[in-house]
Parts: sequence; structure tokens; C-alpha cells
Amino acid sequence: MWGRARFHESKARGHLGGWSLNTGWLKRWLFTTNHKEVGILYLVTSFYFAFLAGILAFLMRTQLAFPSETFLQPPQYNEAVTMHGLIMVLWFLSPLGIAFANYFVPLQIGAADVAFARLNATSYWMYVFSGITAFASFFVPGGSPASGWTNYSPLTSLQFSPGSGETLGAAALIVLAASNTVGTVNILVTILWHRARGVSFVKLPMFTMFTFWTMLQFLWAFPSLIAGLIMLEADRLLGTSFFTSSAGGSILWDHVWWFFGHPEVYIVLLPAFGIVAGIIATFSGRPVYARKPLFAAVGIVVLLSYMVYGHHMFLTGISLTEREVFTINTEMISIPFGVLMLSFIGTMYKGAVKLTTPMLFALGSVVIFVIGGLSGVFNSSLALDIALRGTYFVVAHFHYVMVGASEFGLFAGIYYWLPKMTGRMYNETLGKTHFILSFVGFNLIFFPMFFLEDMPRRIVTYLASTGWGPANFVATVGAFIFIPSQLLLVYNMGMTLRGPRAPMNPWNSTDREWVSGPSMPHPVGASSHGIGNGLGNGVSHATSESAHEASPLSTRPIILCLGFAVSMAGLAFGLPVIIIGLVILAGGVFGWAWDDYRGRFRLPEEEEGERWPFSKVPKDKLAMWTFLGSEAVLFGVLLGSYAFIRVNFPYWPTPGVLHDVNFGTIDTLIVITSSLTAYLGLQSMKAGNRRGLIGWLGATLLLGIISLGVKGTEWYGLITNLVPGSPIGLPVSSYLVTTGIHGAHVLAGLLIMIYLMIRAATGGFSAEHYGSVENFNLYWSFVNCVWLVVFPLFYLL
Amino acid sequence: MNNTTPIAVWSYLVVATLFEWALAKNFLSSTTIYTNIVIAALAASQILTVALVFLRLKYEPRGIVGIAAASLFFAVLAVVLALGSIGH
Repeated sequence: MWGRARFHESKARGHLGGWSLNTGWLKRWLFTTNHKEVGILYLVTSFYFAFLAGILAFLMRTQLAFPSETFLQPPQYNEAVTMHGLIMVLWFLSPLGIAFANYFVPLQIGAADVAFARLNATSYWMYVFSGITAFASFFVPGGSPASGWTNYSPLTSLQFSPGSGETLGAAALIVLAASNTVGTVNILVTILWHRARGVSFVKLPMFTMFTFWTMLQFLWAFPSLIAGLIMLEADRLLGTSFFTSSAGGSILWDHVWWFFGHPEVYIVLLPAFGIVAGIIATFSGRPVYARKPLFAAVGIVVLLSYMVYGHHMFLTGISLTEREVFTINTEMISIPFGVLMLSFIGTMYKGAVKLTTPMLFALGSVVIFVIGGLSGVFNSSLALDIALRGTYFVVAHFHYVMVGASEFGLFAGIYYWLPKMTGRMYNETLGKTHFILSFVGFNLIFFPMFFLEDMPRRIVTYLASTGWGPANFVATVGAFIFIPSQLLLVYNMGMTLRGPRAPMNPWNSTDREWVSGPSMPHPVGASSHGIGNGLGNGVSHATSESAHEASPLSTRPIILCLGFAVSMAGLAFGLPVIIIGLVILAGGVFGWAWDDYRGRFRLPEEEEGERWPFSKVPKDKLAMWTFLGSEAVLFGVLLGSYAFIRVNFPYWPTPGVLHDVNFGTIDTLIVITSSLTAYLGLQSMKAGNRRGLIGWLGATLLLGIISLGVKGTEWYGLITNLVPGSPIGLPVSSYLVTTGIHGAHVLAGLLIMIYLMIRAATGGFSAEHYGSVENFNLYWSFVNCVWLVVFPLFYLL
Repeated sequence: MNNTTPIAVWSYLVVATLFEWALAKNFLSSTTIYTNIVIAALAASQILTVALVFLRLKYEPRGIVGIAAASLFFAVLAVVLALGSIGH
């Protein structure tokens, strides 16, 4: 029974509302695919990681409280700084936004669940295991990553980080990035395809609208991180030289990192502002002011967020023209944020503002953001950056913008939605006390840092003669107020479960999630709060609240993710661990496919609602296209890295010297032929010809295998010509990594083909149902498209 | 779309690949810069053809084309910004 995906909820679920435990309690939380439960899991887990990162912050502030302090040794301090930053940004702030997106986006758009329930659980478990992997790095020889949250090159090289912690940390980040990609595709498709009738794009609730834009940032930012980490791991494990050579080196890493890293600032900020916008409207008793300009402004933020990252590189020696462009772009991004602030103020203007705990946190978020944003204008200046770069002024700035504004906004969301999530009211006095202590504590920590504009970041201690002591002491006092005060939030959340029952809509909000009443996840059929008709604003909800409880359980996501994380951790621990991980992963994937094959994981069909502009596009196909969007950026960054190092490299081999043009041409002919055979297979299935499908897929499979064989021959030739113990030169490095990743995609395609052939042979497809074949076709054609870029770049030009 | 179009497209892709090969092998005896321009143009036409026909962008609704175009934009942006930083 445990190996099966479909458990009936009533067997497996306990009743959380009354906290009555039964034997199904653990199964339920381990194997749930329900969007609310996954949301709660995300929330609780992100708090756990925040607790760990908070301890690291405590250690750092204790070390810096007084001059010449020796509480931490330099290596320990570097580890604390690095892991604090990484965990806070990537394992706490981003996932907390995702937690709310999981729980509330379906409710706000009238969907029964997210688009792909099992994938939702998959992204959660990848997140969990990536965090465990990251923290495991503390316990390996050499300790955890210690080169700052930006993982700057060459600090991450084997020369400066010889321990396996850096390898393990990078592996953890790859797993996390994969989690975010899966989650992004899921939530984007949910918003684009599962809106109830009447929920047009213009009518999207604020949080969902901001989440939509955030997910687009996730989609195009994280592939850059994945590409960079793959190159980093290749440098550390295979001896390539992307980030250790002068042609690539630290500048290449900066590009790859900040193409992800700067959008990440907005990835943590925008969901919080979505919450803030909704809360300000609710507690001002007025609709959101300038709603359409606000929608456009957030879109402009998303676009510009990829074009401002160079301000992190002003002092690295990038071209003056590009520095000027990045200065202008950075200053420009303050305009859409100005629109956001005006919208918030306009909403409150003449409104009956109620200073409840959520509203206080929302206002706190705005105030903190304005302080941080104003200091950011200084940082955007090319001239001022020469003085301020790498100082505590920058630390203050990004903590105000990225951390404070986000954290206060997300905390506002917790208080705002606690009555919805638990069905009970929190303690308002405790909430307000938490706000006051947090606001005072936060500003005590970070405001004095604006005056430490001559103190370098990341130093373990300082002399009394520098005069930095008083400001640092005040900052530490602030930390000792701010960090413990978060326990009040945790305590309040816990006590809420025993608090007084909440009214159905305690804030008189007009947002859609409130019409369904308090709703901690209940067993199927237990919910009595069917929402039936909408809000009277022309919205007809496709689902009732009970439909939100209907997702079945599945053991596959946790197994699959465990296998993936173990295999990635094996990069640091050796081949046996990789093999163990791959075996577990294969078990998870096989089980998943088996469940699909046997039809064991099925969700009820939803009534068709608003799907513009994808009304004629099947959901799976939309998901595939969204995924391919992120893949395009992955290969874009890899090929951009190739172009960067090739232009910088003084003596790149002429075509035909390193790679055999004949081999490349043969491979290209095979690849384009496989596009045709895959296409003809799809056409066969559309015509109801199952044998034709199997035949053409078989031909495609064979061509794919031959293509991999040709590549393997070339790799063998290159690898056998390497000098043992010497770094691999950039021309070979870039070829091996780029074609290696492409080859991995081909290999994945081959496995999918085998699955499709088995399904076709057992009657899995028909002239009406061939979605999986079509999606495979898209994937395969995309992979072949990539090869058509790789071939001329590496072989011909 | 019947099967004539994909077979015609495949034929074009094969011919273009062989033409690229001939150019790279210098069988056509052109100067390097022109050779590179022609190879780049041929490669671009091949990618466009595969995208339009085998990825079926030609037949997809605007929303899908929008996702593809936006993703391509950010992929190209990553390349342009990296290359643009070179030099003083």
C-alpha cells in the first residue's frame, strides 16, 4: 500500500483544526499534494531555516559588538556570513513568498488546486533536501561555503576553498534552483490556466498579480544560477577553468551570478509588496489606487531587474559604456517603484485607516523600503559607488530593501491570513508588540550601518581606533532585540490554534480568498464552507472550498527528490553516493511513471474559466512551453559564457583544429533528421496510427543514441588528449560543459521516448489523446534547436 | 499541415548543413569574414525554420509565441550584457 500513490484522504488524514493526531498524520504531511498543506509545509520549513540563519546572525553580531573581539575565528566568521546570507535569501525569504503563493493563489483565482499537484510537492521536497544539503556542508572537512552569499570567484576555486563544503553548497543550490524552476512553471500555469470565470488578468487580486510577475522573474533568473553552478562544479570537480582563467574568471562569474542575483532582490520583495498592496487596501477601506499603472509598473520592474545588475560590477573593470548604461537603468528602476509607493499612499489617502497588526507591518515594510530605496539612489551612481562599494553602507542598503521590506511585508501576510489558515484569531496585543520590537530592533541594527560607510564588509573584527565601535555596538543591541522578538510571532502563531474562532471575513476584505471562510486543511468533505457563487462582482468560482481538499497523496515526490538531492550531494562525497542517489531517483521516476501509466493519480477536472491568452492551449503544453522558456535562458547563459571567454581568450583555436567539422556535420544531420522522425511520429498518432508512432519514435530513439555516440567519440578524443593534473583549457572546457548539458538533455529525451513507446504499445494514446507525444516533440525540437546554435559556434566559426 | 512541409523543411536543413560544411572546409574558397557571415545567416535560418515548423511556433496562439519571444529576449540579453562589458 505504501508504494501506491492514491490514498483516500479519509484514511490518511488527521484533523488538524483540533490537532487530533492519528496514524495518518505523518503520512499526510509527508505525501500530501494539496496546495494548502504544501503551503503550510513551505511556511513552517522556511521558518525553520530562518531560525538557523538567525542563529548565524546572532554569532556575527556578537563577534562585531566590540573592537578586537575573538568570539569567532576568521574561517568561522566567513562561514557564518556566507550561510546566513544564502539561507536567509534563498531558503527563507523566497520560499515564504512561495508558501503564500501555494496557499492563496488558487483561492484567489478560484482554482481547486495548483495546476500540477504532484509537481508542487516535488518542488517542496527539493527545497527541503536542498536546505539539508546546504547545512550538511557545515559538517564536512573544510566547513561550509565561506566566500559570501555571492560565491565570488576565485574564492570558490579549489585554490581558496579546497574543502568539499563549497562543492556541497553549490550542489544544494542546484537542487534549490531546480525546485524553484518546477514551482515556477506550476504556479505560472495555475495563474494562466486555472482562473475561474470572471477572474481576468485585470481583476487579479494584488497578491496573485505580484506573484505572477515574480514567477516570471524566477523563470528567467534561476537558469543563470544553474548554468553558473554547473560551470563552478565543473571547475572544482573536472578541472575546467571557467572561473579560474583570466578570460573568464571573476567577471564571468559576476555576470552569471548577478543576472540571477539582482532579479532575486525583487523575487523576495514583490510577493511581499503584493501582500502589502492588498492589506493597505483592506485596512484603508478603499480599492487599490491606480491599479492598472501598478500592474504595468511591476512589469517594468521585472524587465529592468535584468538590466541593472551591472551596478554590482562598477569596480570590476567592465566597459565604461556599459557602466553608464547600468547607471541609467538603475536610476530608472526607481520610477516604477515610485508608482508603487504612490499607489500605496493614494490608497490610504482619505481612507479609514485601521492600524491592526497586519497594517502596521505593511506600513513598516513601506517605510523601510523607502529608506532603503533612497540609499539605493546613491549606490546607483557610478561616482559614489567608488567610495561606497564593499562597505557597511551597502550592507545597510540591501538589508533595508531586500530583507526588511520583504520580511515586514511577509509578516504582514502571516497576521493577515492567520485567521484564514487556522480559522482562529491571533492575539492582537502580542502582534503589535512584535511589530514594535521588530521595527525598533531592525532599525537599530541597520540604520547605524549607514554611518559605517568606511567600514569594509565581511571583516571579522576591527580596531577601536577606527571609531566603528559605537555603531557596531548599537547594531548588536538591535540584533538582540530583533532576533528574539521573532519568537513572539512563532508563539502567537502557536497560540492562535487555541485562540477564539475567527469570523468568516474578519477584515471585511473584498479579496476572493475570504469568501470561503476559515479553512485549515480538512479531510475531504469536512469543509462546510463551500463558496458556491462568487463575490457578487461578476466572478463565478469554478470550485468549492471542499474541492481544495481533494488532492490525493503521493509517495513519489519525496522519493524522487531524496534521490536527486543525494545524487547531487554525491558530487562532494564521491561516486558511490551519486549511484545510491541515482538509484533512489530512478525509483521515484519509475514510480511516478507507473502511477501515470496505471492512472493512479488523477485530479478532478475543473470547469473551464478564464484562460486568455491560452484558451486553446492544453495545460501540459503550456507548462512545457514555460519550462522551455527557462531552458532557453539556461542555454543562453551557457552560450553567452562561451562567447565571453572566446572573445577574451587571446588564442582561440581556428575551426577544425580542436573539433572535427565532419563529426559535427554528421551529428547535425542526425539531429535534424530526428526532428523529422519525431514530428512524423506525432502526425501518425494524430491520425490514430499507433504503430506509426512507435516506429517513428523508435527511429528517433535510434538517431538520438547515434548522436550521443558521435558526441561520446568526440569527448573521448578530447579527454584522452588532456594533460593529467593540469587545468582543462577554456576551449575544451566550454565544449565539454555545453555539449555535456546538451547531451544530458538528449539522454533525458531518450528515456522519455522509451516511456512513450511503452505507453503507445499498451494503448496509452489515441487520435484524441496524444498530449504527451506532442509535448515530447516540443522538447525534442527545442533540444535540436540548441544544437543548431552549438554546431556553428563550436565547429564552424 | 500535411507531411510535405516537414519533409521540405528537413530537406532545406540538410542542404543548409552541407553548405555550412562546405564553407567551413573552404571548398567554396571565400574569405573568412564572408564565410562566417554566410554560416551565421544559414544557422539563423535553420533555427528559425525548426522553431516555426517543428516547434510549431507558426501555428501556436500569440500567448505561446509571447513566452517563446520573451524567453529568447532574456537569453539574448544575457549574451549581450556579458559581451558588452568587454573593453574599456
